[in-house]
Amino acid sequence: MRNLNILLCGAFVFFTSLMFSQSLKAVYEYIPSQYMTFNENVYYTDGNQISIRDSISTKRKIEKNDDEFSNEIVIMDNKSKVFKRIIIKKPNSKMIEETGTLNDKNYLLEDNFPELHWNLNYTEVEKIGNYMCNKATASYRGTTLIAFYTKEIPVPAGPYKFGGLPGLIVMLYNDSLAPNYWTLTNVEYPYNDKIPYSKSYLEKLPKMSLQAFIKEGDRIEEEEMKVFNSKLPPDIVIESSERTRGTVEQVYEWEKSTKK
Amino acid sequence: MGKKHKKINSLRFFYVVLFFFSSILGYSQTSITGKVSNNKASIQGVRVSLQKAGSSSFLAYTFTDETGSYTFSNVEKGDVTIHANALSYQAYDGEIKVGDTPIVHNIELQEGVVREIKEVIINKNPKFRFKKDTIELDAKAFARGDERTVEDLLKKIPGLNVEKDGTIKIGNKEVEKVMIENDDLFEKGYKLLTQSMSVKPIEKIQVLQHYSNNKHLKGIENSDKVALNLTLKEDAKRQFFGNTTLEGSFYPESVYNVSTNVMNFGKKNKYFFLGKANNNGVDAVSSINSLVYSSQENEAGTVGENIQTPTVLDNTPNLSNFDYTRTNFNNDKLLSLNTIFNPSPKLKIKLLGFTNFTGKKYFRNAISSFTTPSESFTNTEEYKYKKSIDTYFGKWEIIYDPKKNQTISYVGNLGKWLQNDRGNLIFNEDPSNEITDKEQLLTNHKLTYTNRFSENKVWVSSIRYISQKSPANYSINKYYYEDIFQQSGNAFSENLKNDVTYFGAKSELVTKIKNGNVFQAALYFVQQRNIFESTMFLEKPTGDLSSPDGFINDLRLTSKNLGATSKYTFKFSRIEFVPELDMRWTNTSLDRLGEIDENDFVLLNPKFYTKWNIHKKGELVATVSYRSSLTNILDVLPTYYNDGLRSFSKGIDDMQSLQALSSTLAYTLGRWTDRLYVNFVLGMNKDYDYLSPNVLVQPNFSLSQNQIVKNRNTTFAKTQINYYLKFLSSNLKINLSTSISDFQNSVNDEVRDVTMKNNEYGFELRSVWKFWLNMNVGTSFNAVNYQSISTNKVLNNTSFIHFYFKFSKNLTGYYKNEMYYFGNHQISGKKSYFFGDFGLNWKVEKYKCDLSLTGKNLYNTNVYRTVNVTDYYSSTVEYKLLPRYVMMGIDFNF
Repeated sequence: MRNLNILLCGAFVFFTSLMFSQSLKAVYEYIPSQYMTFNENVYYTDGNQISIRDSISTKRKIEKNDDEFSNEIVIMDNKSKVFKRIIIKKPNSKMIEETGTLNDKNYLLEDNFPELHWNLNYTEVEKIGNYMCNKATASYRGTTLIAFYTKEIPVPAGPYKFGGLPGLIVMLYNDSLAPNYWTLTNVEYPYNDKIPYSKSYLEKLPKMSLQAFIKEGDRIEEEEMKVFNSKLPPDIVIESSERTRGTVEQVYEWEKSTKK
Repeated sequence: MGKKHKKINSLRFFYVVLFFFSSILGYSQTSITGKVSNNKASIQGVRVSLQKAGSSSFLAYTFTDETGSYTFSNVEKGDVTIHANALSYQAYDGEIKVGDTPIVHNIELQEGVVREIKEVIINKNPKFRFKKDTIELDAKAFARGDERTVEDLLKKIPGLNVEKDGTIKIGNKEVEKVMIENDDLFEKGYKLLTQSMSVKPIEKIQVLQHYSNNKHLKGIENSDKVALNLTLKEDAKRQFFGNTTLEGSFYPESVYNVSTNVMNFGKKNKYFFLGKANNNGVDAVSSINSLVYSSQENEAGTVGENIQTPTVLDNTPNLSNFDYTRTNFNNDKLLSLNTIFNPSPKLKIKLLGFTNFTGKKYFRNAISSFTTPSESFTNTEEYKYKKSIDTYFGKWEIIYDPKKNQTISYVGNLGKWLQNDRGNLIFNEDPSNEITDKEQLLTNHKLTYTNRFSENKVWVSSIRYISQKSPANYSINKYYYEDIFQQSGNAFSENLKNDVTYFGAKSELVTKIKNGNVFQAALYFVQQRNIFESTMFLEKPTGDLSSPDGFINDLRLTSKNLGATSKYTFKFSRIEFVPELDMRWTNTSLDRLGEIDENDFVLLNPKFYTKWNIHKKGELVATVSYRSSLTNILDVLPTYYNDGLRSFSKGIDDMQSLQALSSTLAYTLGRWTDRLYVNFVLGMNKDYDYLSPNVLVQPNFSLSQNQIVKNRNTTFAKTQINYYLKFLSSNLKINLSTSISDFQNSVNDEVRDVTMKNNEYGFELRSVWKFWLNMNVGTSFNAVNYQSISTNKVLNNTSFIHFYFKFSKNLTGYYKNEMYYFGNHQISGKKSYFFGDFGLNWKVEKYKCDLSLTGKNLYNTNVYRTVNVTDYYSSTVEYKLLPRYVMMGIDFNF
């Protein structure tokens, strides 16, 4: 506490016209499927949102007796090399920097993030954990986000790339074929430790646009789906070519023209 | 909470002047801007919000930028309150009258105590918990347009497998039920619904994972069950809708298939009416059986699953790996009325009713050759069967929740079956008539009480009563059994009484301990009584009836069981152990015409399961179990009964416990998305005691008497190798399996050591091409070899090539070719059989209907002959097949 005070004094001396801001750390449980749960740490300071998602699921990947089940439902879990996922969102910039992995190799991606137009016109109030939460929805890349935020923490932060609500997002999921869930498990304010990532490591990564990255990922996945379908027994006819993404994103902007 | 601050800032005036001009252009909207500061230092990241006076919801909100500024444009006229909130500062609330002029409203925040937040939120909101196990699928996203029934739609969902007979599986796991708007009509008989209900009203398909049939066990038991729930479009609720299918052909023979269903799924009451009639070989009623003997295996706290009278005098064709509709000359009519009432949120009442009238014909010719050192002969049988089965079945269920954590449910059913079989038989060129009349009366009642008395503990208790009576009468107007009865005669008949009554009670506690470890323990009491009576009659040349002495069974087998089971699921990081023990004390009483024989048994059934994720792509599963079971009523019959033409059986006349040990080891490499995916299973079964027939074979009859023999060993190995060939865009699948079994039997009083070997090998190639055509081709060989005094063997082959077409979005089709070959045996005659079938479906969007064209048995193959061998006989069985037909159809919704 004393250190903090010294720091605060220092801040006043040097930046008289701007208040020193404190960081907030929020920990989310990210549940992309029933088999996996990841911890996602979000650090928010003055419009900068850095999200770091653990690479190893906190939940055992496969529950008891799910062995048969899991053989068939496609799960892309950590059967290959995994990296922590780092997402960096800066104020006044549409571009989000994030890391992504393809064939065991990590890249730094640039995402031209579409603006979220949150609809706050809901009267629903949910008590989630200790917080009274309000509902908000927004359409996002082919799906609808449903968020519950708390006005009690007036910080426009949230999990993953999301935020911009009047308060911290406590719970978020997408109302889609395979929902992805984020639930707040811990909040820390003020947060005074370092944000655990290395800028120089990120700078050294090969760069790629998100669009190119997604296209390549889809190509690999489509190949895997073909391999999967080719193993089905004779009497099962594969008629669907429709595929849902396991991520929260379903249809990207650049795909709109090809998909209806 | 916060104090109100209204500080007039000198800047405000400046801003008012600055924005004066824009206000002239303003309509009834204006802007509010300002800066947020503390001691002249601007503050970034402060939430500034506007609210209508007296309301708690935001009109608008923003966060201050790096200069501490905020802007609201287009604020409507009126009174608003303005609020500024930031962690570490005291909240600010103010009031603004919004007029036509832009407003500048600067805010000075007072430092507050640095509000430390260090808390853990444990999400206990059940609404969201529940959602996690539910995958919700939008019907629109999967519908391709050519689907008619719910089943057609489910087929298109990746990961859901719909089999030929309509069984829905996710992976290898059959779904428990298919519900509509969270109400379950048919349990495991869901095919009635999925195969007939139109896809039109379906909005969403919910896949409920980790499903618990008992809702209170949700989240406690480690459930691997899956159920489906269909939600309906808003406009489909509370109105009657349905669909009708008409298919038919008049040349060369009249074949038809008509079905209609009408339904109404309101919030409180649900109705489902179904009518079907066909003669195209498809059993309209096949799925009723899963409703009658609805088995919820491994369900906590339930008893009496799969209890029924033993099957006798059954002449249903048993053709494995062959499409049963090809031999089934049928005429089916089914009517079914079903409703669910929800008079209050705590009470649900379900009523189901079925009537079904089935006529079936089979044409079966068999040639059997027996070879034993003492006897060698060949029999020929030419059979024409005509069967009629009338079914009347009703089922009801009442579910009542006295409290939120408690449920009482009662389910009962009542069924009656009348079956009449007439067989025209030519046995070794000697004609005769056979008549089998069967009746069945069944009633089954279960009362269950569930109490989730704490977050992680559930107590389930149930009692069940079952009564089934299955009498049968058999007669044949020829007499082949003079050697057995030492009497001459003209005709033979038999009356059978075959009853079971069952009472069971079980109480089970399910406790969830941390880390997903689950402990289950139960106590149960079961009393079961089987009655089996058989009396044979000979019609003497004089016309008198006589019942031969020494051939009457009048047996009552009563068993009382008191037992306990327990099961524990341990999980470590990559290993899981599940030890299980069932221990029971059984008292049996065998009553043969008043001569009572009582026995006590202590039966132990331990089981051990373990799973180990050895490395990233490999998984090893091992199970070991020891089984003690008791002989059943047919196993212990003191004297012979007749089980159809020329076949007499009897048991050991004594209760025995049979011990067996079995173990398997399974290894899986890779997964479905990997190019290489391999399964390997190795297994061993050892029966320390088993029942083996001592058969006396004569040209005119066979007498089979059970005896207890020691040590039967079976070893098996099975592997499947999948490899995806990139250049062909196809998967190559290789199947190999082998098993060896050593056992003993006796034929004509001679004890024989038999070794049976069964080898299967084959491959399949399945394409995933992107254009209009796809193909699936495969072949499989099965070599069966019996080695005893002599060697009997057969080599069978099944090959197929299927083509799938997608000519356009609305026009799809298939063409399937199959070949069956029976070779490597001494029996002469035709050895290969070819079949061709096709289907075309055209969706006419304009008229909301489907047109179809189906062709079956294109090569007009008229018979199908299978070859079977055992260690002392080989036989060929030939079935007449439904002739070639091409059927046109229309399906429309209303």
